[in-house]
Parts: sequence; C-alpha cells; structure tokens
Amino acid sequence: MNEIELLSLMRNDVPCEEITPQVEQAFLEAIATSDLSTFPRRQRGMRGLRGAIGPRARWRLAIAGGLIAALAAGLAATGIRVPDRSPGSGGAATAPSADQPLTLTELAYRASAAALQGRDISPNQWVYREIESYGGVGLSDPRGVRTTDANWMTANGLHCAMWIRVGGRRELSGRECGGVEPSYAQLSSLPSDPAAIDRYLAQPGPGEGATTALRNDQAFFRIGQILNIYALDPKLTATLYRALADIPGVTALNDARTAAGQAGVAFVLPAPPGSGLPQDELILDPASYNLIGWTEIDEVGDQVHGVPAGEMQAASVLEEAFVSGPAVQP
Amino acid sequence: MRADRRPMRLDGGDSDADVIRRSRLQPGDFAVIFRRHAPRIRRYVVRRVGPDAADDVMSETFLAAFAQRGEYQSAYGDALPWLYGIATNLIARHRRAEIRQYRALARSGSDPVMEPFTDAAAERVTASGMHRRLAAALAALPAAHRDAVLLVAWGDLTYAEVSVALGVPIGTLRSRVSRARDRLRASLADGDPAALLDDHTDESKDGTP
Repeated sequence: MNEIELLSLMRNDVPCEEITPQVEQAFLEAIATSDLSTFPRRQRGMRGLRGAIGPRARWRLAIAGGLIAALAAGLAATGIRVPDRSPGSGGAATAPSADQPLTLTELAYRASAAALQGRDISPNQWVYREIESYGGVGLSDPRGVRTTDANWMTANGLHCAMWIRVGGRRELSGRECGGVEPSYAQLSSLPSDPAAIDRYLAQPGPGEGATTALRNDQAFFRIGQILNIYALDPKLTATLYRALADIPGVTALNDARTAAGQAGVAFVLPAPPGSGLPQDELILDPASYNLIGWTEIDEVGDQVHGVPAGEMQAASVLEEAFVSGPAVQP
Repeated sequence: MRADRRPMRLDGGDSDADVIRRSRLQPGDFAVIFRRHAPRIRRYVVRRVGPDAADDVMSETFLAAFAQRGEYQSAYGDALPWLYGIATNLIARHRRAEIRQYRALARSGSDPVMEPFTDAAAERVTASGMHRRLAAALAALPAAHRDAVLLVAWGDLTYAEVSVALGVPIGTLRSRVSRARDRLRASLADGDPAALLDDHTDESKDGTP
C-alpha cells in the first residue's frame, strides 16, 4: 500500500450522505430568487447529516474502489520497470562510450532491439520491485528526501501488494489495483506505428489544453507510465521506445544518473520555457537498455509555493524480478 | 477513469454541462447539480476542515458555482472537478483551522474532525500511528501541494481532473503531487509523529498570515 492509499484511508469514515429534500429545497429557493442570502448556510446547511454516525474509526485494510486511480498515479511516479532481466535480454548490446555518444536514433534503435530479445510475459505474472525515490535540488542535496519502497504487482497492473506497518506490526496488504490509462487491455488496440502511438497518447484530457508542449509531455509521460507499470510483450516495448524518440523535442542524454546514482542513457524531454512543465528523463541501463530510472526536474521552481528551481523528483529501480506471488522475495 | 466513481444519473441522465447550460435560462435546473454532487463535495470538505466549517464551505461552493455558471466551460461534461476547485479555494479561508486539526491528530492521536462520527470517547484515541504521521506531514506541506494530493486521495480525482480543478498545467500538478508524496512517504518512517511535526511544520509555507 503506498502513501496515497494510506492517506485515502485517513478520515475515510466520514459519511457521504444524500441531500435531504429540505436542504435541496432551501438551495432551490435561493437560486430561484437569485437572492443567495435566502439560503442560510449554517442553519439550513447539512449539519443534520452529522447525526448519522458512520462506522467507528478503525484501521481497515479493505480499500474502496476510489483508491485505484491514486495507486495508479503513485506507481506512475515511483514504479520503474525493467522489461526483463533474464539472461540474454539485451545484454549483448554495446554500451555507448564517451568517444561515441549515442544519438537519439541510435538510442531508440538499441533500446528497441534489446526489448525484442525479451520473452513474452503472462498478464498474471507477479513482478517484485524495489524502488528508491528521491526528491531534492540535484542528486546530492543534503536536504533531499530519499526513501525505498518494495512492492509486488502483476504484469497487467491489476493486482498489487506491499508491506505496511499497522500498529507496530508488519502486514502484507494485497488488493485490486489498476486504473491506469490506457489499461493493459487497451494496449492491444494501440496503433502499431510509433508516430501514431504518439498522436494517440498525446490527446489531452478534458481541461488539459492542447498546446504542443503539453501534448508532447503527455505522450512522453504516458509512454513512461506504460513502461513503468506494465510488464509488456517485447514487440510493444520495442515500439514504445521508438515512439519516445519520435516525440518532438526529445533528445538523448548519454551521461544520465538515476536517483540511486546509477549511470545510464536517457530519453529526455526538456521543458519548454514558460510551459510550467518539468523536464522528463527516462533512464536506461547503458549496457542492457533496461529501464532503470525516471526523473522529473522543475527547472524554474515556484516562488509562490517555495519550490526551489532545479528541484527534482526521481526514482530508480534497485531490484526487479519475476516471482511466483506476492510476498515472495526474489 | 473508473466507471464506478460517479453516482448514477437518476435525474434524467443529462450531463452536467447540459444541465448547467440549461440552468442559464432556467436557474432552478441547477438544483440537479446540487443534488448530484453536494454529498461528495461536503464529504471532501468535512475531511479537510471538519463538519462545522464544512457546512459553510459546501454551501458557499454551490452558491459560487451557481453565480459562475455562465463561465462554466461546457467542454467539461462532468462538473465535479470544477466544484472541487471552487471548494478548495474556499477551504483556503480555513487553512489555519485545517492545519491545527492535523497537528492535534499528530500530537495526540485524537482526530477532532472525526469526533462527531465516533460514538465513544475511548474510540476517539484510536488513530493509528500511520495516520498521525500523515497528519503531521499534511500540516507541513505547502498549501498548493496539500490541495493537489488531497484532491487525488480524498477527492478521488484523476490528475487531469485535479489539473482542471486547480487551474494548473498537468505537468505542474504532477510535480506538486509528486513532492507531496515524497513528504508523506518520508513521514511513514518509524518514529514519534509529534517529533516529525516539530521537524517539518512551517506554516509560513501556506501563505497564511
């Protein structure tokens, strides 16, 4: 269970009560007369609903369906997946050198080629991941916050589990998860052409606007999310790496570093000035081209809210392995 | 987006955008929006500021929404993010009280917000250590980060919807949630929640006077 899920349980016993006819009538009267003062707030509000006592506050492991999106969002930020660490999965590729840095095209080609050497994975295959997350200004910020989490998730992202601490005891919390867009089931209907995938994933949601910068960021983020969360078949993984390279503005970074300090090569989408978007980096192992990290850097910061320029949020894979079920250590 | 997240439309099935558009000529139709969403908005507000302030905030939210319905962008079929945004802005007036309640929970384990929903004094002091730690972290978060993460966790909105609710680019929103999550995650480490509160609380970050 991640921190968003745990937060969702806090004050979860506050009831969600329907509106009484009296309260609705009061509101109706107010708006009908366009005299908002006729809708006495405290007296005719919903105080009466407090009379309905909800279940007693207690720690519950049962999670409402409403937590699904939060979990998905959380994993998108922290869960970086290595496609396959089985022997031969990309290990034969040649690492870039200082003398011969990779171009974006070469990076996409090598990442795709490495992915194609992976094996097919059952949707119900359990994957264990240990992730180090970091937040701070630069990777050596003495005030930076560094944490390590471990979790288990099926390849299709629908089932997950993690250890939580309840009253001083450690308990395994398992649940249904999912809620990622696109869903695992929807992946099969993604276009086969990388550029078409970009166009599809770049579609903004309601209210997200449709600037070029946002569309590019959307496509980059969603591809990263798909690669992070799901254990994909080799062909789709390969296509997604090529799609990353097709996103306008994306470049190759040959001396990237994950949150844990691992050296890597990265697909980078710089933040256009004034866009309010972070710079995104998707970091691959320079030899195997497995995905090993994700970094977001707020280049500008936010003076209003005290966010320093250059603050980064990063995650790196410390360990990842296929296991037979939740709680099974590799 | 989860299909089960929205209440069923038992009131004619028109989208919120349709209802709001109609309410510009027939103000009474806006009651449909109130009926559909007031329970969820109030629950969210109660979780943030407690039942007493929630009555005011919830009512003001819908009155403000009614007054602003002419500006509602009909491209958004679902009005819930818009309403959450209004409610969140109104919650800002109660920020000090909100933070005090988080601190009280962190220090004592007793949650003043939950008292009306708990029927025995003995049950009140049952908040888990985990919730105490989370409360301490919430108290210490910058307001914008707290708004973002609580709309995800308690408002049950997607990132895109929170982006609409708060009127910020989704990249900015994602970054805020990510930062908030780091603080929350750090708070879950073993230790005394009250000590965590002392370490992290900085009310000036909220921009409150």
